[in-house]
Amino acid sequence: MLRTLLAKDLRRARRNPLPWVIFLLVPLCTVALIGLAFAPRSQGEAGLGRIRFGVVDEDRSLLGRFLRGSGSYPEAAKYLEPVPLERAAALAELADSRLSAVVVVPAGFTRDFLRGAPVRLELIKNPAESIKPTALEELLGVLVAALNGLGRNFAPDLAAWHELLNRPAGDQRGLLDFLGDAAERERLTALFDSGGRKLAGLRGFLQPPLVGYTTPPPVAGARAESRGPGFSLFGYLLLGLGAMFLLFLGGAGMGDLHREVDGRTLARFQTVRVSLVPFLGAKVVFALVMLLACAAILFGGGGLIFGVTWRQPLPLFALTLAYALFIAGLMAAIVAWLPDQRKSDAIRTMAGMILGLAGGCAFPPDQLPPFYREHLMPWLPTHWFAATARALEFGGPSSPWPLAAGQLLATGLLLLALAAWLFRRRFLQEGRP
Amino acid sequence: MPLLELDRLIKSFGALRAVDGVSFAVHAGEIYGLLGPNGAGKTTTISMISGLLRPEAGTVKVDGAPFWSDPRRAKALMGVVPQDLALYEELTAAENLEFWGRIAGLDHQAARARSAELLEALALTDRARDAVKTFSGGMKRRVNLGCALLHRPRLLLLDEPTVGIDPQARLKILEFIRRLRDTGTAVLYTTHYLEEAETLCSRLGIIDHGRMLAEGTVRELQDRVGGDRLFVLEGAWAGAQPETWPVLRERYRLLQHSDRQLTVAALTPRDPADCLRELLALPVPPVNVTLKPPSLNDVFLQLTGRELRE
Repeated sequence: MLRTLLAKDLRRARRNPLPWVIFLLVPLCTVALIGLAFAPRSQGEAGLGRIRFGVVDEDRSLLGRFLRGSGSYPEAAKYLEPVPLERAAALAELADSRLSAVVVVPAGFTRDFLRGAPVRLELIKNPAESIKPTALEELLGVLVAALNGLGRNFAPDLAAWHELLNRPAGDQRGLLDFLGDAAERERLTALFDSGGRKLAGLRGFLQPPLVGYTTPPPVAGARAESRGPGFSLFGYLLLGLGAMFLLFLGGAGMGDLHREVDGRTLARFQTVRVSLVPFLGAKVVFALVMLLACAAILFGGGGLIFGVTWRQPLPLFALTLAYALFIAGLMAAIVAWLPDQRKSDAIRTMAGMILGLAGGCAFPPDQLPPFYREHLMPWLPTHWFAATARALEFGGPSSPWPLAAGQLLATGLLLLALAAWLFRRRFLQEGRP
Repeated sequence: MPLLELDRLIKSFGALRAVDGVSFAVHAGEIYGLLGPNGAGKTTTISMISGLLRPEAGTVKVDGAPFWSDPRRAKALMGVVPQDLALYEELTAAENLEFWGRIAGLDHQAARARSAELLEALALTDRARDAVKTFSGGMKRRVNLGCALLHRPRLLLLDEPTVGIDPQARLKILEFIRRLRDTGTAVLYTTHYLEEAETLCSRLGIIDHGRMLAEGTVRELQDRVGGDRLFVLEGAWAGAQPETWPVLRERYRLLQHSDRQLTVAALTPRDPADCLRELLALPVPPVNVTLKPPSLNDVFLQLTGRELRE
């Protein structure tokens, strides 16, 4: 009997696969889009790629040379790609979206800065981009803060330097003549001496550094997820989004009961058989089979497409099986609770969405507020699955997978019992399904 | 012993009494028609017979045994054809039939063989491998009928099996049901089509508002109205009150009255020529008089004061 009912449902699903295909394609496409946008393209390249920006040095100054040369420092070269250009050419490239931004050092910038007069750098961002121009703006903010610090602490010296470097127009002396002048030499020495003393005073603040950072190894019980050497952004996203869309797929599977009721096939079954248990049981088994098949396509096929190697396939399968039972139970309970198909469809979709998002399936859970993360999220079955599966594959803190699988299994069975009770009550009240 | 026996069956939905003390019996080799307008209680009666609903009071006996004492046995004896098409549209006709055969307890081989036999009988063999969703309404109705016959039921419940199909498809289904009757199957047939009931059913029960109003053969029911013939008078009777005219009040039963037409039947068997003379001498004489045998609609009209077609 169960085999006949299951074969019938599987055949119907095969003849009308569109709902299933949609729910399978959406997470795969989402993972591909997010993964392609944020995943490293090759080893050693930053996730965002290098920020290509134009440097228009209208001042022909030291700062301009510094900005132009920023790409030559090995560490900076990983992130920055400065391109020296004239203003018109830079704006043309910006308009063609070949630059993320243009930094302009205006004429007279160095002179005014050394004089202690207010000065401004110009940043023209590419409106077609969002992340890279913002990142460059942040970097420029750091540079401006450093220049401000320099200006405030070395203001008298800077003015003297300016006077020294900008000799009167009539002064035609060469460098040797200049240094041969004892008075000028004394002025220069005094400036070096003053600068040296100020820097020596700063040494106490800079060396040894009072504030530093380190990357400690993951601590058991800590929430922040560490990402091991086998970490794959695609795999991480796939597990989360897969968990969320399995809820929708389970909703589609159990929602078939509504079609059986509306199509009067359940009533016809009742005119032939005495007990409805085989019919309802077969529907749960059908939902389970479809969920496992879809999970295999999502995680197995998705793994192949995105090059993810699952390190713990058997525990992952066991966890997925328990999660599928939980989904079947949840969706069966909703279908049993709400006889109206439209209401039930809406509630099942909402439940899938809310449980998926709240369980941290669609984004890293450590981005959520601490109170929610520590006190509410641990109660959600979607979190049990997503967090445990991610920890299994990519490391990080989580419950042991047998415990998570047990929790999911127990919750699923409880929900199935609730669904059976609700169905029985409904049929007794209404007289017919 | 009747194959199906209903005794004072009652069912209510809230304040509405859908079936109110209905009793009748159906014997082997008989087509019993349950005739009534939409909402009369026909489907509720069928639902109680087939075990979809439990009656509040009264009993349903199948082959002499109360249904609820052994529902498994009762269900094995009967086949139910619901009014709505209870089919899987994605599956083929053969797959639908085989599936319901398996549910009814046949093994795979038997279900397949019986399915082929029924497809042949229903003239659907050439479309056996096509999905039901591609079928016409009449073909779907035939598959719907076939799905109830896999296990060779001795009692067949047909709930308006010809609703919404063309006359040709209807004739095919009616012919098939007659053949089933000829094999000794007891058939309970609900309909609101008068012609179907008149031509198909050996006995009829007329039901309205959950109550059985009359029961008998077509002839017996016609006799209740007025023997062999009715007089249909056409004229201009706007504002007239024919029910007050002494001749009509004393010698005729007024079945129907409108501004342009009166339908009457003689209270006692009389010579039609005498009747015609009397009717032509009414206070407002008719311009045309037609004689016709009473139909089931006239029976229903007499019993309820309204037409079944309303």
